[in-house]
Amino acid sequence: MNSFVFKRLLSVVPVVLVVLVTVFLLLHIGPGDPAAMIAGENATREQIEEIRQRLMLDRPLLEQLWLYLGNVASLNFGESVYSGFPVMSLILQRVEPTAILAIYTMVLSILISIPMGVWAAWRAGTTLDRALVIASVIGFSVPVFVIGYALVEIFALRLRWFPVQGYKSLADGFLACIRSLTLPAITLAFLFSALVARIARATMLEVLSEDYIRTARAKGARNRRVLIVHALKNIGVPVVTVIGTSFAALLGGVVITESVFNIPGMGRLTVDAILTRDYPVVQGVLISFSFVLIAINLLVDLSYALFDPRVRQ
Amino acid sequence: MKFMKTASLAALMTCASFGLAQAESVLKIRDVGDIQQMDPLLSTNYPMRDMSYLIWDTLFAVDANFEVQPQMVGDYSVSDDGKTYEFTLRDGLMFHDGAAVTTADVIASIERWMSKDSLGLQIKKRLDKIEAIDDTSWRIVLTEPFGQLLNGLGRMTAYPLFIMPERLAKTPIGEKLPDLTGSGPFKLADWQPGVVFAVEKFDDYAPRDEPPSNLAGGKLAKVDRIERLTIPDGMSALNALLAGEIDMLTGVPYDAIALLDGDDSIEYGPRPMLGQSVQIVLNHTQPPLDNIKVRQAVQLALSQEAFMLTLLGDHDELYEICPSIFMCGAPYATDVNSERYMTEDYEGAKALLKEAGYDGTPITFLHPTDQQFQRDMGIVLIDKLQKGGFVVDDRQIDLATMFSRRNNNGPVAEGGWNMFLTAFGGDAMMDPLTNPYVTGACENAFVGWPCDEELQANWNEFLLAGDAEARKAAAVKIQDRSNEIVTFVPMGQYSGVSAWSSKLDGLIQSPLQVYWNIEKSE
Repeated sequence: MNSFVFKRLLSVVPVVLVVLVTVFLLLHIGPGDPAAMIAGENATREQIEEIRQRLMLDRPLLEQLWLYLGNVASLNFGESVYSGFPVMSLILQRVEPTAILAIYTMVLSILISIPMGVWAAWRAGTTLDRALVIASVIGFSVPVFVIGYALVEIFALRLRWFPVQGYKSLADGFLACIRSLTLPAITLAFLFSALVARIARATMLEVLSEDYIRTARAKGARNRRVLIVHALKNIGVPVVTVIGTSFAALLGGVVITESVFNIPGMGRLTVDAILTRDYPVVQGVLISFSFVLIAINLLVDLSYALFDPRVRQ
Repeated sequence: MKFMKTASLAALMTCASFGLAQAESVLKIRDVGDIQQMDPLLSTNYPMRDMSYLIWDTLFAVDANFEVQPQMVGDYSVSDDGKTYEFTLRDGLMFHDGAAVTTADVIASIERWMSKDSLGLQIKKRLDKIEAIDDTSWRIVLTEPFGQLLNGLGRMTAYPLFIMPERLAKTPIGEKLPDLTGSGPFKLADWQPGVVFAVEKFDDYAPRDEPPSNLAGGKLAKVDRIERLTIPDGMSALNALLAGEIDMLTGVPYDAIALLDGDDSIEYGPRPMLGQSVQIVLNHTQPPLDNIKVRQAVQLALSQEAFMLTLLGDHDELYEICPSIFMCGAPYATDVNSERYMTEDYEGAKALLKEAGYDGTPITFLHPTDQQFQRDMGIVLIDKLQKGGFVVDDRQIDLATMFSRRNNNGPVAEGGWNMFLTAFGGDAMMDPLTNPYVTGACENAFVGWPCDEELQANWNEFLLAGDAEARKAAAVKIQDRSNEIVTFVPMGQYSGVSAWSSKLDGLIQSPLQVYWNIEKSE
């Protein structure tokens, strides 16, 4: 097991290197100039050139890449070309709301979707199953901003149960924090629970047609036992895979939901940085994402061992 | 017993008043855009400039009549030959770190500003010396009389002369300011780019006695803290106002204005003063727009009405079909030589193109699609140009690419361009010295690079004019020539809409977003 983990960790190195170089080249070869953006509307070309020199954007591309890789190797992601704040501090500011929103969304999604998917599979072909399938299709298809605005109208503007927008940090109190993220988490849970429920249903249908389920029934096992003890564990691998990739996507930022609810998360940081060509910030967040993705993939792989003994061998 | 009652009452009142004294009044505002950097001489970003006015103070300031008035300056005098100015600071001016504002801070700030601002550069050209008289007085000696000196020291926008501590003012432009210490009515409390920019009342600020008037007069901090929240989505910001989570927002989405009607807790109206204007910018250095007749054909193919309708729909109270390149309602408004762009005339455009020998060379139009107003108006522009006989190459890009590419004055095949569409605030457009389009300075002109001796001479005449009447006459000449050679095409003047809680009082009318003097009742 240890060698498995070690090998997986070692495989991270070339992946990160490829990500670093690709991100750097994509940004620098693509159109757009942060110096022109910083200088503003009526700057002269001389003023733009001065800024370009200060940012070392006038240096040869390979020299810039070499400098950049050297900085990253010493865990220095640089500073925002606009505010001058260290990229790492800008990322850390956004990690808390993003992480809590991701966890909150996944908890809600799992609580809704697994029972929904399992129940739909168990009652396959009935009206209830069709209703659940239709609900999951709707949840998956309706744009998140429509759900978000509808929730705001009902629960924030009319009932005043939750705030319209904004994020309260954990430092302001756990309940205040959860309250500020409830509507965004429900909005996202519509999407992710629909996704997980569909996978859970499909996998459960497959499992329920397996010989060992028939054997369990033939042995006289009760429905609940068949479902929970024999079937549920065996839908683990695909469901955990979907949950893992969904969680990674959530950690990467959900820019529309963040914008509708004004949550200062990673998604907005990334999009703002891309639109303003804030190279160090874009590079910093994309590298962070790649680390998060790799870590989650690793955890998902390790979790397979819990559900499938063959993986442990 | 009576004593006990009195004592209890007194204690209660003390507690109550203590409680009131402790209750912090916070003004929460949402303005369009974000504050990504905080050096007021590094960029022309409006939100940054508006927040800078809270943190830093200015020597002079523009009042509601667009006249400069002393702000940090107490007394000043001008010599009979108009070349020597002596200034004295008001008493009691202090920086947020407790240090007194001194002449050394002022001179360092002026020197930094003169190296960047276009009017500052004009002053620098005529500067003999700037010297301290004592800790609170200084002298500026010019080589020739220059009537724009005080206008420069009180510049409203792009770039205002903010007075910083000498240690900050010595920072080269382009390097990050080590801190944001100022001497304005508020001091920095918190800044998280993309999230919040917060300032707190500076208790030791000494405001002027005069009532506030635009950027001049007494700057009274009537709330303890101002939080400028970055809420990117206009509809979410409006919902936040309706729910009482914020007190004020600018940039109300035009299609959501109806939601504010009938809500007594909210007031709204056009703000800021003068609004903005839309411009079509033409590249004079590349074919086919290097031909004056082709540029004039562009004027004929366009009409302001269509552009304003695209942007504002049926909110005709929020826009103005304006013939002036210096904003209608502003001191230099004129309609001279504006006929070509006031009413569209496709046949006239086609005839002029024929006369110019237009061979169908495409107009390469830089079309940012990540900005709603540029995206939508760009579609209208292309349609109008095609109806006027032009071939258009629609280059759909993002704003950052446009900002980069528009600095290229090379051929289109080498990354150049012919035309783009943008908007400037009325505060910049209203004055020939801040309106970027009205010089004919070739390589040194604004992008588009018009090269015209007559226009440049008119601009210099304005610069050197001795009085308001002469300036007005020069401004008319500038518009006449600018429209003749088509430095740009003005496509209408419009207002943004701000909405605020009816608990607020004391909002100042200004071409900028001004946040001092606002009072919030509970």
